[in-house]
Amino acid sequence: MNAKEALIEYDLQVLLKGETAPDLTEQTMQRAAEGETPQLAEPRRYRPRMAWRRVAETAVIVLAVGLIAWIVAGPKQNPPEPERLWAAGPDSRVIETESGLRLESGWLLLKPGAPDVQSGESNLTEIRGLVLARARGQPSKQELENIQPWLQQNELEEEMLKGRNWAKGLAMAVLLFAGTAVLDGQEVEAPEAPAEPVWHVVQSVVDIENLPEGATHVRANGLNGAYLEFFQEVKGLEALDFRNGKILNASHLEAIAKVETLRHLDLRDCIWQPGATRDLRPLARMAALEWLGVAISPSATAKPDEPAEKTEDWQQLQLAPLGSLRKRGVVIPVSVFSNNSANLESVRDWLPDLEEITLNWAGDPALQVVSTFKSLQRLEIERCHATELGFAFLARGPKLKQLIILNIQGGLTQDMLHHISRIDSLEVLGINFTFGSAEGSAEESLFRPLFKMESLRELRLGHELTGSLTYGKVMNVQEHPLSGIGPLRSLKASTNAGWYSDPELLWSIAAGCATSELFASLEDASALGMQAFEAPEWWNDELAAHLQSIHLHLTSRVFSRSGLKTEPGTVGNGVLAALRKYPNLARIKLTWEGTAYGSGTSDNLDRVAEQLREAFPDLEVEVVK
Amino acid sequence: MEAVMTEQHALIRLMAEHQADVWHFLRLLGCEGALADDLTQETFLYIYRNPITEISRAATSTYLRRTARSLLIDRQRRMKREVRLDMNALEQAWAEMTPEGRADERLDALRRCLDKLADRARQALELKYTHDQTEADVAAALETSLGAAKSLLKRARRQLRECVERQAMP
Repeated sequence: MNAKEALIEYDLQVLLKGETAPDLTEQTMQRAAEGETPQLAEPRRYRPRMAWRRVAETAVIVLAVGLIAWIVAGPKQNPPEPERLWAAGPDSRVIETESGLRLESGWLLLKPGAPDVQSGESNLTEIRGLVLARARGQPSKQELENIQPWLQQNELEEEMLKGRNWAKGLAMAVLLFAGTAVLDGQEVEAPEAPAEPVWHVVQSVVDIENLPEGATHVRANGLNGAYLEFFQEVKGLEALDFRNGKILNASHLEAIAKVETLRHLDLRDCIWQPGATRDLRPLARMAALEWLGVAISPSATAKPDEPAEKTEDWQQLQLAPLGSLRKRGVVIPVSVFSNNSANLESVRDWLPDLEEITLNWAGDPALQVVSTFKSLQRLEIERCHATELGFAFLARGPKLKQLIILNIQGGLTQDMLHHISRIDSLEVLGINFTFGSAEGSAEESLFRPLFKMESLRELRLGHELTGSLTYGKVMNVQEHPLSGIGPLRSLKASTNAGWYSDPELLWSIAAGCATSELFASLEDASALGMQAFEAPEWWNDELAAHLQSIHLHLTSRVFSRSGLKTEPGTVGNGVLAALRKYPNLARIKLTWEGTAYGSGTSDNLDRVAEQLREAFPDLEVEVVK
Repeated sequence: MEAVMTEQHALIRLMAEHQADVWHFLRLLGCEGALADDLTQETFLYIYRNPITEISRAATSTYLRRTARSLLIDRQRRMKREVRLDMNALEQAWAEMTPEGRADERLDALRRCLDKLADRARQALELKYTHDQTEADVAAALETSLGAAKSLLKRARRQLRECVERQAMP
């Protein structure tokens, strides 16, 4: 709750309870008559205009002092307000003492230069970093989760807590996000954050040849499989994203398997050469491989509903090599092209501890088999023909963290959502849907089963349009149907939204509701405490206009895509105009995707950032390279 | 309006005009009733001993609030009590949402905004604030989930805030 809402809450109590202020005039006059004079330790920061004589006297003194200071030190701006160096957590008790702070219970967040902290027998001194301190020792996971909203208010994300260890003192534990501090006489230092790799994008052989020395991560989406041969010459290549590759065959895999340094290879969504033998055995020889994304299929066609050109011993050609890689500990997210649940059983038998799977097609029997994948954490279904029966099986199965359903053929029903809501480990849920029941009869309560999902952090909704159907018309809602989902922190637009050029369709799909409801739904997103709206790549001024009254951090690669690719180093007037419609925008994160072609250098990104800072001095512009 | 605050009658007039605002502001900052009473008196005593010239109602109101806030901080420090960190933000919110510093006008605006709310939202607010019911009680009374009740209350408060803010605009 922000300060304005706290004020409204107070006013509601006054108004609805009829609380009135007492008349204290008589007591005040009595105290005045007794000669009482209150003293203030601090001078006021602000006073209305004083009597003219005092004003004149003060002005003369101020002018004289100011003139001397100006002559001595030269003109200066007013000193900034001192930065607040500490913040007490929720339900915490902190007392300011002469020697610093005393943390009696709860939490303290401290910035460099913060006063020393005493808690019981523990002392935290020489704070030269960003420190989270907790009285009485290390917190439990649950206690950490409880303070997430407070941490977010202080711009600390949950991710930042991961991989860090608590230092335990006599009666206080501290976690360092950056810098150093001394806890009970021992210096504590924050671990170095691992650097994010730079992905270099290539689209041609020339790009591959021109990759800079030391390029370890390369993205080559949508290229012909024959390009794989040219990566053998890239020294030190560690990661290759080759998603959506075309005309792939076994000889291409033989070629890439020779890159001995490769640790990460993504071949998901690749289309095989018609008639080629889908032999994954070369990949099993890659000794350094730690992560392999790959599509598997028992038939020699890419799509399961087309007649097979020939059948193969797919278990030996595909499942066996993947099984041996899995035994070595390689992480293998697979896409399965099959509408036969018996084939899924084979996948389970060869890869029993699979953690991530994408099903091109899934009906009730398939979901029943999936429910027996004990280690599965992420499930994506591209075409879902399942009914509530299939989801009932799924709810009894693995502890899924992520469930994405791109297309529910039979329509979404509340029964399905009821079963999904019973997956109490689910953190991310994405659904592209149409309404299940006859048009006009769907009710506001459709999404109500999701309200109880306390683990849900991210919801991605996409509405498969049916003619002129609109959310409001069909559901006749008074409240937004998602408004009951409490812990949600992120609402994302459907990635399919960019396929549509008609703005009305685009809005509908983007937020899972009709044009008129988009604004309301994003308002809800804001009210639900979400921290970010992830702008899709088709982000434009129209969307910005819809967002203008919402305080959001915009995280998007929009500039690296539209700015760098078409007009290197230029933001573009359209984007600037769009941003001006978005007065509450606080931060933009520009993400650099290295390219070896054209003029797309990282300097361009700096120029984009420069232009943004110039146009919007109050905006925080972060550049990530 | 230039009246030097040296006379008792001037203090009485100042209190008649501003004491309710100061008292409510102190309550907003978390003071119990008795402490708010005491600090309201001290605020006006301070002004009595350190007279000001009023240049506008809003400026005087701001000065009184900041004096009250400083007295509260002093008191809490002396008592070694925890000092709230959001006092500045609350003071700013008060200033932005209160035309001419008049809390009664803000409350009138809130009353008008409440009338515009949907019945269900108003019912939820009345259950919570008039009858001191918990959010779980509100959910039960409205036959909805706890999450939906929380959300309904949150949305209602937000709508009220926006409505009051609009009315506070010059």
